[in-house]
Amino acid sequence: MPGETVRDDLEMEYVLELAAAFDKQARGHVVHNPDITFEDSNPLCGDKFKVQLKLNEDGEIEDVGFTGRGCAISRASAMVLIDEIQGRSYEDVDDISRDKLIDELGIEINSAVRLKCAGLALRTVKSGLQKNGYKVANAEEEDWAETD
Amino acid sequence: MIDTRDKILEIAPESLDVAAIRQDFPILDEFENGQKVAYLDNGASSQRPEQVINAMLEYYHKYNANIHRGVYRWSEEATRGYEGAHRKVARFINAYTPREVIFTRNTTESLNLVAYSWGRANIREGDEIVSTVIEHHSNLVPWQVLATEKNAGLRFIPMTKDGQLDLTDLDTIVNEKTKLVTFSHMSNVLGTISPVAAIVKRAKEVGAVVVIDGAQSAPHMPVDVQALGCDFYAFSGHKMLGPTGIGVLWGRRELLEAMPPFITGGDMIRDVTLARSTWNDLPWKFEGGTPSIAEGIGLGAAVDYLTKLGMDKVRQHEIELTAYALEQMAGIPDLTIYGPTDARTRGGIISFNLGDVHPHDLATMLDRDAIAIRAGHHCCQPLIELLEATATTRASFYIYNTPEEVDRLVAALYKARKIFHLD
Ligand SMILES: Cc1ncc(COP(=O)(O)O)c(C=O)c1O
Repeated sequence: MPGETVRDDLEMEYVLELAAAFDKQARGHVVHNPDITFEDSNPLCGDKFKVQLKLNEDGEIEDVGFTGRGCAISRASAMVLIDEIQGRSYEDVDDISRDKLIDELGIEINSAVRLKCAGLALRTVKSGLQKNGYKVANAEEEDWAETD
Repeated sequence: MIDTRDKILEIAPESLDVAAIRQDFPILDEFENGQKVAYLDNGASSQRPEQVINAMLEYYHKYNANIHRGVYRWSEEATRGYEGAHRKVARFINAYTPREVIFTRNTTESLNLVAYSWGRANIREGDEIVSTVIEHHSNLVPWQVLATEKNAGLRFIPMTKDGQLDLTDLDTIVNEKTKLVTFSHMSNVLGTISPVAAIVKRAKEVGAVVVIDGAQSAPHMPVDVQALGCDFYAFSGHKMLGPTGIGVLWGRRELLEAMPPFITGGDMIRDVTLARSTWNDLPWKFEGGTPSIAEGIGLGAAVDYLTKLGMDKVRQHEIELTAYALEQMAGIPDLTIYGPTDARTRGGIISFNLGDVHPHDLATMLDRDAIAIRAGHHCCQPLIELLEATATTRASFYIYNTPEEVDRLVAALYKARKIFHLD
């Protein structure tokens, strides 16, 4: 179906761009004296992200760095996330949901597995904050598949 | 090297009537994104034919009751259906008797049964357990747990570059300390068929018990547990046209008789006093609690279906389809195919990667063309590591798959090359 190809091309194009931006700007970026270092993985595929965060006294996120491996969707959503949280208070992280990231990617995801890809970076950041005593809502719940 | 597949390959029966088979699987007429779904994820779970679904429906509609204790007709009929399924499975794998056929939930539970029951009674400090580097986590983790608990060693048969088990050092890996050797009959990532005869021969020289993970072989090729020469053989109903929630452990009677029970409670006992109990006959001694009755009956119907087709024909169909797919896929630039390239030495499972495209991203593209394949580590993280990949994409075939579906996969891979800028 020719129409389909065009749609797939365009949709994926933006995700691939974001993923490439992530590889260039954020992947491997080392945060000096990070306050938080946290690793999480997607047990379904073994993809892994490690996040490092530097926060100031006001709880603002001053620096973010990621290492690890992931598919284009997980890397693209990590890029969107970084743009959202850099320079913002950790409390604002609470307002970011997986669905919001997916909206910004401009793609439709209906596979439960791919939803986990899209949420991996957010989950890593939220869990990292939580494990270090910052009050943010539990990101794990978002990973639970819904019926209906 | 002599192995059991030689016997199978001598037979060249006529092909399956795939068009007729597809009539029995209404799900294959379902549409996704405007096309019929090409279901190529049979290694994970197969579809079920009407005959299986109807056998289960009939139980629920007409004679639903618990088994073994009721003296009314429904219960007796349910007992006949459930026990009869054990007999069908026994014939299917050429067991000596249905008493050697234990119904579990799946391969994972079957292997755990051996690890917990046989393993805890027989493995001692300093003993060795031998597995391979290509195993599914189900046939690795239970042995890791057992070895740790018992302070026993765990050794692994390595793999050659082209994905076959490497038996060069078999005589040192399997030695006088070895008490148990376990390996998959067919790899769920590479499709490789293991050299059973050579491994069994060496294991028997040192008196080790042999466990075979048949999750991928029982559904796809003729299996004769007596000819294989193993002691335990495990497989899952849901990969062979049966329902989920039912699996099989076959074991040699004398071993099963000597083993302590695994899950204790109702149904598996003979006499119970407050102080102690004695165990029921085989296989019920290992089937504690109310079993999956409908699923057992469904598995019986699945075995009937496969037996009627003929497992040699099933195998032949998959050899032909896999050979065709390997040939078509070989021409795709940037495509890496893992595992042996001769379809006669492997099952209908093809793992691949397209350039450095992440398998998940590729799978999403294929899904848009209604092609259902699997992406990830396939529960074989150590093997994926050896392939120097982080994950693979996997297509796996069954009786209802066609060359046209292979063509759709190949076309979609060419399209994906464009989308991911590989050309
Ligand atoms: C080779 C192999 N072993 C074991 C298993 C586990 O089967 P189950 O999930 O039905 O227990 C599988 C299926 O994924 C498999 O392919």
